[in-house]
Amino acid sequence: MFHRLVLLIGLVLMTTVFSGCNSGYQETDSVAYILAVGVDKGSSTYQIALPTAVGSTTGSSGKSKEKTTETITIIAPTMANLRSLSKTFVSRTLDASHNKVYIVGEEMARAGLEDSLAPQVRFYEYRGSEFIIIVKGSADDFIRQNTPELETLPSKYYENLMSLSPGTGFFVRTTLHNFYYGMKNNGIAAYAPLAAVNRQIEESHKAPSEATKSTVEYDEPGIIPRTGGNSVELMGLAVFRGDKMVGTLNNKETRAFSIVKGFFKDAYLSVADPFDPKHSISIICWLKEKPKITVHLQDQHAVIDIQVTIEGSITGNKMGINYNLDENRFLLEESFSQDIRHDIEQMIKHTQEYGSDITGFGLYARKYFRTYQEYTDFDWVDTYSNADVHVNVNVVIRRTGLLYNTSPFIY
Amino acid sequence: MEISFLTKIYNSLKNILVYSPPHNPQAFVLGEGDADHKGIFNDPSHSCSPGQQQLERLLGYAQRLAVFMEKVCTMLRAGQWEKWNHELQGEYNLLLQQQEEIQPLQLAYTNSLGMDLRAISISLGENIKILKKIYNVPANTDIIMRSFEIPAKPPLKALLIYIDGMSDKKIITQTILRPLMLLKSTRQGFPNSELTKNMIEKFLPNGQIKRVTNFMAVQDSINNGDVALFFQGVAEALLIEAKGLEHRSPDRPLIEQSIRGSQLAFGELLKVNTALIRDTVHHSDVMTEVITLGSRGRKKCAVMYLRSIANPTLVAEVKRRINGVRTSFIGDIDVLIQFIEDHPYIPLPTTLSTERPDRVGAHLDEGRIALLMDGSSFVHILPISFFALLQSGEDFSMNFVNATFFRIIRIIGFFIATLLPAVYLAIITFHQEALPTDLLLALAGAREHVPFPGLFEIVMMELAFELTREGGLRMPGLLGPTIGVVGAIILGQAGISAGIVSPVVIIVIAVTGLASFVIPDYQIAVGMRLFRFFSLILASMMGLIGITMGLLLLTVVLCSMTSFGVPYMVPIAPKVIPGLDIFVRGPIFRQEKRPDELNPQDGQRQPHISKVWQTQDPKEGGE
Amino acid sequence: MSYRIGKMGVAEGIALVCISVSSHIFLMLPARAMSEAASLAWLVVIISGMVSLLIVLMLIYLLQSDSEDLIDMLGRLLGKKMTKIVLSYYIAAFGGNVVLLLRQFIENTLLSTLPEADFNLILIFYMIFIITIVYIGIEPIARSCYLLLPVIALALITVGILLLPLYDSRNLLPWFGTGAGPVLQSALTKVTIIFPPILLLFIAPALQDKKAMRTIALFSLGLSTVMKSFTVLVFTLVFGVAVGQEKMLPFFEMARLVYLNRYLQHIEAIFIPVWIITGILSIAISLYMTASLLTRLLNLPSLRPLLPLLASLLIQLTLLPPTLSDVFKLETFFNQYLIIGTYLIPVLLMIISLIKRRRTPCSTD
Repeated sequence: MFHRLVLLIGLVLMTTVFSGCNSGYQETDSVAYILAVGVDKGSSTYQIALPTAVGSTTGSSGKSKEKTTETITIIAPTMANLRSLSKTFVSRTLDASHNKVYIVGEEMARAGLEDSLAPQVRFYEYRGSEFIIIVKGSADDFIRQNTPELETLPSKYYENLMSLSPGTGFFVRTTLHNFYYGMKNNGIAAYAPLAAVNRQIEESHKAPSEATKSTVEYDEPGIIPRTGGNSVELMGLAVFRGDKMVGTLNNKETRAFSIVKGFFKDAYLSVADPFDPKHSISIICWLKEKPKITVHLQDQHAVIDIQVTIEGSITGNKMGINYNLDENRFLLEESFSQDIRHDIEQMIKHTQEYGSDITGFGLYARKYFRTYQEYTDFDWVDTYSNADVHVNVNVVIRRTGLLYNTSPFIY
Repeated sequence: MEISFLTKIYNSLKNILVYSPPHNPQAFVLGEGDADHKGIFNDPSHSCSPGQQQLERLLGYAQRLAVFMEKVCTMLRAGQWEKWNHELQGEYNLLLQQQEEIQPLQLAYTNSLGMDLRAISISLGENIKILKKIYNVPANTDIIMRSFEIPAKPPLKALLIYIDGMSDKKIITQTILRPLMLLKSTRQGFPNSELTKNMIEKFLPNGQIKRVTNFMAVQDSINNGDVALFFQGVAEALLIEAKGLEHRSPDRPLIEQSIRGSQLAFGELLKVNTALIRDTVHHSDVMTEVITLGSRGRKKCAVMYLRSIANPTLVAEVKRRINGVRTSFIGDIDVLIQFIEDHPYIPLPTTLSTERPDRVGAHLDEGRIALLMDGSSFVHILPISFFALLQSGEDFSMNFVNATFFRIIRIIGFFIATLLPAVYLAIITFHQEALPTDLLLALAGAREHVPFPGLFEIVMMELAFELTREGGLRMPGLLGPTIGVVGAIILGQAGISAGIVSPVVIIVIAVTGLASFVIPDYQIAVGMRLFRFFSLILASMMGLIGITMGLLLLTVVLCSMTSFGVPYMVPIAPKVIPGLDIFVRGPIFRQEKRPDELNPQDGQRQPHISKVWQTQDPKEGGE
Repeated sequence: MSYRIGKMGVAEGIALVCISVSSHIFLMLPARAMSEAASLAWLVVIISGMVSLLIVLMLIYLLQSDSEDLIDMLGRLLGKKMTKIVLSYYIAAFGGNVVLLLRQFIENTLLSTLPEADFNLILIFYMIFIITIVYIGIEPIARSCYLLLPVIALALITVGILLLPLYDSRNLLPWFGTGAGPVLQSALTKVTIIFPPILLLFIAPALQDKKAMRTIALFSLGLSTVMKSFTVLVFTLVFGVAVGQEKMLPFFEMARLVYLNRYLQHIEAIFIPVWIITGILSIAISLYMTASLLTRLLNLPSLRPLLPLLASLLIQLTLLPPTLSDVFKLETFFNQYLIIGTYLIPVLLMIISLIKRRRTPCSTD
């Protein structure tokens, strides 16, 4: 009996040997980790991490910055093609499980992401928490130009940058999960932050003589007049309808969108001082609570009410005017509310033109339907384009920073 | 005779050319003798020895005698006196004649029995001869046989026999020889039938004396260090307690050191150990039952329990198992435990081995049984559950919050010691997506220059660690721990700078080794070490899935084990009333019930309110 | 009589049934429920759980004594020949359960954790462990289930809590899902039929008495229904109907989505042991029931020698369906097959028992 048992176990073990016993055992030095994926019309880019530079223990600090990643671009029609081709010259297996960001060129986005993005969901290395960025220009160029000084790895750069999005509102952090949800659902459209490479970084810039006192408006990313810093900029939003990109929003509209969606915390806002339009005044503000949105649906006509409450704290103002007094403060709050309301209305107007409801008002309209089929059969895009929207913004200034009172200058 | 010249040449050539084996004395080789094939336990010819035949004839005679006596009884009850003359008288005469034949039969039978089973004979000279044969006395110089004369009228010859070194000479001189040899010679002669009883009661001022009639008992007690006293004309011997072996006195515990709690450990003598346990419990219910084991090495083993608490079926089962052990020599209590435990093929312990009396006392109070053995300074407590093996003795000396914290650390250490290398291997080879990107790239960078695959690296380092550990054990005295530490450091550092291993592996192995020292029980630590290697292999085959299957199999095996009838994973596995003592140790005033799984006779050990509020004013100075 | 297992407590019975029933959480249950009932998927699970509870309670009520089990009751009510037929039906049901669960779990493994492994290798690996576990016996399995059940529940709750930032309660609207009719129908017939609680009645002599069995049925089905419903609810809240009904591995996708900060992400590897444990234990329990019923049917003296042969037969069956869509078709067919055993046979037994009771008059003293 004992011998039979030994024989049986031996035979079983032998089967494991004969079948190759390779069930996916990958040494760390036979795998290359992809940190960013770029998709253009007809070509794809992978940015691969170089572990020797990152993880060397015997190296010391104080040496010059060496290359920590390697970028390869292959002209191939599909991802599958890309994978097979990359194995002909990259000596390691590509592993996309640490991929942080999915960068799509604008051309590709306008043509439709159905062929490139949608099949990714089936792939087992796909992760819903990856970010997506739409790039003006080509993704290939964007990835290569992205050389952050503060971070060793671009993956860390993307993750850190994305976590800052509520602090400005000029771009909105979007994961593939949100994006895919917007593509597939009836009452909401997909959106993604817009990015570009700033070609004018090395030049010196002159400030314009007549500058606006409130927030500067930039229509597209990559045109901020600056010197120094990383070459890439994220600003604005790309608006989709289905899987095709149909338009963009500028930075102030994107900020309005962040406010309406509730992704707004500790951002700076400036307007012209209502007492003295030659100066500007700025506050740090945050949303007190998520905006109250109600949607009334009646006979294919929708009426949307948005109620936004923002709290703030004054950071920069002209000396001499005491904003603690009620009437002063009230005026200030009014001017901020006006500014924000204007932005929100602009944003909604644009999205109605494009026919894509990125805020997701359609989801609020779900309660008017009894069954799911009724809801999927309903044409929300049309209804949204003709909807009436009422916006009400309320700004409350809670604090005034470190100064309680300001005494005037002595001239 | 003169050897001719040619013969000389011929002899010298022969010496050079022809091979002859060297003339060294033969080395000692333990050859196979006939006696090896026959053990005394399975000897088929044992059944047909001449002693057997005599025994059968003796038994036949006894049966006939019994039948005859039955007939006489019925006759007497029926009142038929006349039957005696007719029928039974003849039978009676026949039986008388047969009795004369029986005498030589009896002699032959007792002769064939062997020395051990013979009865003590009346003649002292005969006894002396038998004793000399048993102990091979002139050649065996340890045995001392002292003949002396007791000055009575008429003088009585006596013999004292003991083993030199095992008996206390003072006791022999003061309590046996002095009172007997210095008796007043005016004493009258002793009546022989009452001699030994009188001796014990009147003349021998020793604390413990026994009367025996066979040589087996005499041998047992002499071999244990007692003294045997034989008298002329009495078929009995007196066994007098005189143990005086030099032994190590109870010392600090070597293995189970603790910061708080008592610092006493067991010694090697059975008497000392049982005394230490009684000193902890101080109750008259403590039972010590001694069983002698082994055929050549007659060692004593003691079973201790509290009579009013322990479950009697449990005690009976333990004694039954110990009595069923048939072997030649049991060296240590661990050998005995391997004979009687429930799962001999599974390398996990089913008893708790401890060298501290305070722990033994606490467990006895819960209803468990302690097993001691002569010559072994460890005591085994049974039945035990898996979670009791992860507790240490000083848990009860501390505040329950601290004790719970230490227990949690021990459990974490247990899991780390079992699983860390396997989980590390699984994650860096199969599940690389589980680590944060920066950590993974750091690890990958460190491993770029390592020429070995991951599994090999870990196994190599594990092996080095195990070698260091075992080597440190065998090194004498001061060198041992030093070499262990030095070896580990040098190996690790040299390996890293040579680029053979990566630093993370060193950390993993070091943490694992440290965590395995946290486990209080040695046997479970060793068992888990084996499981660690098993799970490493599984991890290299299938990653986290392999480890999970190994863990699942381990859990099922653990749940199927029993420790003397008590399931191993109680109180979680069969759910019984937990006693606030498994993972989290509850406060001492809340531990009201004894462990339910032991089915003790008295389940409550504390009333519900165990801190009684005394109503007197403390200023009155309490009464 | 080696099929007379020892004694099992209430806690072990609860864990046994709970784990066998909850293995489907880690397979396609949430996605399938969602494709049938849209936003009311969580209710579908609750309905099927409650119906199964009613059926099991009814069968317990029909037991006449504390040491009677379902086979004796079948013999009493239906006669010997019909008992044999019904028993072979149940053997096929448990065996089919083993086959389908095994196949789906291996496909899960190949898909999510070991994509480059060989199917046969994983199959042999799993089956060796399952056979060893069943060989050790059902009591240790029950105790291990009880030991490991909190781990599984904790894992599900953790995933639910870590996904809080991604909840969107509007995904639960519109309220009626696909309509009351389709919801009810899918709860009872299409989405998984809750079949394993029947095993309680087959091991009835080991459980203490009828009251204990009722406690076990109540708690186990309640707990597993809560767990399933919670998972389906979280899945609906996070993914929504449109996206969710496409997913093949709902729990795995949920675990993958967790992203709180730079360090608390990619945690799905931690949850791999959870669903492996659930899967292996539920397959082991079903295998044990198959072997045990087979020994009862054929009056064999012992269970253990059957195991390697039975396992190799079931392995062949596992390898039969060529593609995964065939497995789904098979599962749909199997669900319909299970309707007989889960609903029709107990109702039939109830009717026959009532008729018999009416026929035999009650004795008055």
